[in-house]
Amino acid sequence: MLFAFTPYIINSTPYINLIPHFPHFPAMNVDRRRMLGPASAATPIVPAVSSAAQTGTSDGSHIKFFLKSGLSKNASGLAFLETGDTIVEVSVYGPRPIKGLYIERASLSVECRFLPYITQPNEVLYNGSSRSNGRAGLTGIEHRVSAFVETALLATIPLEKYPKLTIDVFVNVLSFNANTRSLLNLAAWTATCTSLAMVDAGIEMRDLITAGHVQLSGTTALLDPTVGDADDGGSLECVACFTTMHNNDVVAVWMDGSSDDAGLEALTLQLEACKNMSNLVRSNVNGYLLGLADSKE
Amino acid sequence: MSYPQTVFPPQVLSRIAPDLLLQRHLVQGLRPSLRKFDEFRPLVSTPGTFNDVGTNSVVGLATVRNGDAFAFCGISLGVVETSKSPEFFEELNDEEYASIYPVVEISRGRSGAPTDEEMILSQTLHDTIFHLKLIPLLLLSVTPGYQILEEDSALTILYPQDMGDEVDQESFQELNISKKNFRYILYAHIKVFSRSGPLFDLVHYATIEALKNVSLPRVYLADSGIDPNIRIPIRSRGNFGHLTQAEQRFYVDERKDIASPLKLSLDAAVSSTFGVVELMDQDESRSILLADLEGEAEEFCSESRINVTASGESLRHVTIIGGGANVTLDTIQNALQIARERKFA
Repeated sequence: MLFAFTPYIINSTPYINLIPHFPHFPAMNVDRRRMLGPASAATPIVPAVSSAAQTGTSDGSHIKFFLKSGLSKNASGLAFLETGDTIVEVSVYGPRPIKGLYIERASLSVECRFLPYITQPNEVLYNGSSRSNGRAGLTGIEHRVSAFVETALLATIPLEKYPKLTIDVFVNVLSFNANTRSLLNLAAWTATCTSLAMVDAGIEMRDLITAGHVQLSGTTALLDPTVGDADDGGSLECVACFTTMHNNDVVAVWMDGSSDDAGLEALTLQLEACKNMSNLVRSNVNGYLLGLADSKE
Repeated sequence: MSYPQTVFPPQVLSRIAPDLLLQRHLVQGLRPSLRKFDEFRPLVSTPGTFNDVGTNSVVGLATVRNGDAFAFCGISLGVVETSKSPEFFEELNDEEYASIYPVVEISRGRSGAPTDEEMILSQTLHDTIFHLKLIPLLLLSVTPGYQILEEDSALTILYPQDMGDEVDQESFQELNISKKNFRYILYAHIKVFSRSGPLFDLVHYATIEALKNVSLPRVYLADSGIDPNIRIPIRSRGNFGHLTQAEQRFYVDERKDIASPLKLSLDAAVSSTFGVVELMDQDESRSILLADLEGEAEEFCSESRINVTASGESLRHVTIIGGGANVTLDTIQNALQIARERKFA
């Protein structure tokens, strides 16, 4: 315990008490790098409107999406996905060299961000999002989506083939309707879009990742559901990512919601339905990629 | 002994000797992008709206594309208390203008603090919009309405400006116990993808296009916020707080018919940036003007820049930066002429 009372000496100046500590002062959280306007400004709240219509079907016949890749000059890969009100853009930077220590496997990072004026799903539930124009960190919601996509990618990219490199994935949510779609739905489409961006960047993958998102309504699982598809008594949502390399492996699962009959049976039912949607999406993504390959020849 | 000549493909040459690459092109009368010296890439704008997309608080939106680069610009609202009285806004003449608070983000695969370029673009944009005299301050004054819970428990929103003479204005004003006055402030968030050259023209155009689409909704204070003397204890994170009018919870009235479009004082204002480079042709050297710089070689080699913001035939703003090639009177006149004659579909 002796060292605790010995002042740490640098250039014969006691190190302690150099930085005065004022616990009663609030943390000065002023961003001097961005023009954020007056601190006292209030953001008007848009009152939540009527609930979403029920659109989910058990065969996925209603699912529509638009895909486009390769739009960027300065990113290694870029993919753009649009479905309903959701617009997601994913840029992949890398593999690019890192400075410093040698690492045997590439380091992978995923960062998901909503444009600042977009309402994030369940933002009240997840402790809010800051609506400020320039935001340094990620919100809890953005962290969740990032983590889910990263989990799916880690299982799919042979990182050992890219030593001393990093692969950085940046997800931008350009449009989202939090009244009609849930966080899990966004995660599903983001995962699909990310794998297409990986292909565009030319990064080796064991296989494409495609995701399915389902909601259990009684004993039927509805594919690509809206918030309106949820039962009043609480219902279970599930999103799972697959690669078909081996027997349609699951590479990431995320379940949310509450239900009385959330047992093994419900889980199997949901995973099976997720697989159906994933296959549906996959055949479309494959078709897109084949068309792309044809046009390049 | 002779060595084989090393040949670099253009992409490599532009990295190791950008000036050489540019000179070789310019001597041929072409630019690395194969454009003419005074040729701009088309600026294409697509207006958008988030009106029916959930509770997003965006009031104006534009997607703009310039060659490979594209930008999303969203305008959102803030309400701020002002010391100015409503009479001040009524008496305002055309001489008072407002600006926006822009945040430019360029997607370049890094996160964290904004780069110098982003900071400079944001600041320049703020200043330019202010000096363009584009947004009349008069349009940004707010008289919030009040949401009243009536006896039959129906919620109605009352706006002072909608009240006819038959309503007692004085007693209505008493609702505004705090006697505060408010005005809107406009934030802009500009996200740029696929940067391939200087961005000011793109960012400027995206902001103006988004501002053109802005429709200002009415805002109201909800019932619980009317009387600052009523304190409702609420429990949040284990502490007791109080809901008062001081909290200033404004709500957006979603009725489109009472929202007012932001009428800008100019129809359009377009910024055109030129680079000036020195061209070594045989023995003589002359400075030439390159419109709408693109690519590493052009950006690196043209330190001298001319920026002209024109609104139709009239000039609004001119910046000339030297330091590189000699900026002659001829080049300046040329730049002004080209910027003026630029046409938009």
